[in-house]
Amino acid sequence: MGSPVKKIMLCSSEKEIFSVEEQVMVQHSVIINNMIEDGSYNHEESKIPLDCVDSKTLKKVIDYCTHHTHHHNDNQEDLEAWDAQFLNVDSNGLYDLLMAANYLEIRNLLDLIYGTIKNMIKGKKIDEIRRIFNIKDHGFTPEEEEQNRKEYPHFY
Amino acid sequence: MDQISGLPEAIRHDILARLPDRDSARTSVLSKAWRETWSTFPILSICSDQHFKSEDVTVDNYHSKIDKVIDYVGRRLLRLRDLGLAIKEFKLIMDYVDHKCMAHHVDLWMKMAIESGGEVLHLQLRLPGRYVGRHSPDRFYDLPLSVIESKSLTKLVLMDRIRVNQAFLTHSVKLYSVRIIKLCNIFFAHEGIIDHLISHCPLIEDLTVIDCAVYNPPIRGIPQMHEFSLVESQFLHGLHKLKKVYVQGMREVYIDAPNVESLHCCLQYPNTSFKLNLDSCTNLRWLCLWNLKNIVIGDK
Repeated sequence: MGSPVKKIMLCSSEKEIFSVEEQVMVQHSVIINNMIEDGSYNHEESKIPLDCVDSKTLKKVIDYCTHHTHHHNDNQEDLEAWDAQFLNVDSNGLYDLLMAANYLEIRNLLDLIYGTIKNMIKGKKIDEIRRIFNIKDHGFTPEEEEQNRKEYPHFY
Repeated sequence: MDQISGLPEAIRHDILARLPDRDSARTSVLSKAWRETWSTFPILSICSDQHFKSEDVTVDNYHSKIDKVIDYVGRRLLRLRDLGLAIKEFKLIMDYVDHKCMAHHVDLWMKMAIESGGEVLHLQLRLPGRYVGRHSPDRFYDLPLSVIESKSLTKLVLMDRIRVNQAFLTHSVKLYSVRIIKLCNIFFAHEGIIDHLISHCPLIEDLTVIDCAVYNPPIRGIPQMHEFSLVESQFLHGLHKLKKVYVQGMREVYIDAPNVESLHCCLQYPNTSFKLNLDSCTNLRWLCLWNLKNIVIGDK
């Protein structure tokens, strides 16, 4: 038996504590890696407060990092299928994940989310994009909107 | 407010940077918040195709079409300058360029991009098909010297209808941060300018030179027999970071750069002889030679 797996504590905005393998978070999150490296995390008593990440999102982020740590040798197709399933969330869920991945600096998760957003915008007309992202109030006055439509007819 | 419009600006810029140009431009009319994001987006990629279709251009409407583009580019650059933001990338791909009327605009835009601390400069000036054969000297854009004075540039791409004049041969090159250079179909006043430029880019990793020519100006008003001739040789010496080289249309290539890993050479005319010297390229892993019939490879 090797030494027990080192764990760290993450605390969500609802003050729920999640215990995660240190290696999983260190590998994926630049911020947590830095905290462990510079010694600002004390294994005996600290927990890392993530005030802007709710429990539901944090759980997903941990799932992502855990899967990608333990399954990084899987074939590309399986990983992509897993990622697609993982990101099968509504636009609010996607937004929360994006903010969390940005805060924790999880590069590969960010790239994955950006790729999804890119596909939601690419090649679409304005009205369609507005519907996808639930942009109800675009903030333009009717005159400005009219002007935009006149100036950039090919966007609509 | 909807959530996507509430994202921090840096994240929205990251999203824009990943979109094709046409799609990122479209976000400028999505909502007020996105318009704001668009106006501070430091990557400017201007392609005349985005503004008009080349088949719609006639002699009569050319100026009104191009004026719109000029106005648009000017507005976006000025906005960034007024906000004190660096123009991180400036990419200009223009069709139907009347160089006489455009040159001072392009000069000004390049100056703004460089002075702001720009990192990527991509300039591609094309002529409409029916003019391609006419090599009249006023159909070139003269590259301003300020380009090689930029310490912040990391990538420089120059393609088509651009002329690099004699002053570049002696002017001091300050491209200390450049990692990628691509020169394609451009014209030099002197064969030695390419070597002079590149030998002063200590961090260069990736170099592409495709079918560049030397422009031989008329002597005492009399045009020379060969107004244009291909740049024949390339010497790359002492560039320790250089990893990747792509050369097309040269007859002699001498590379003395210890870390080159990949070299790709292609001749324009297969019957000309080709000399290649790679004696000190001990890390070369990938060598691709195309369209060569006679080749002399250096003594080792």
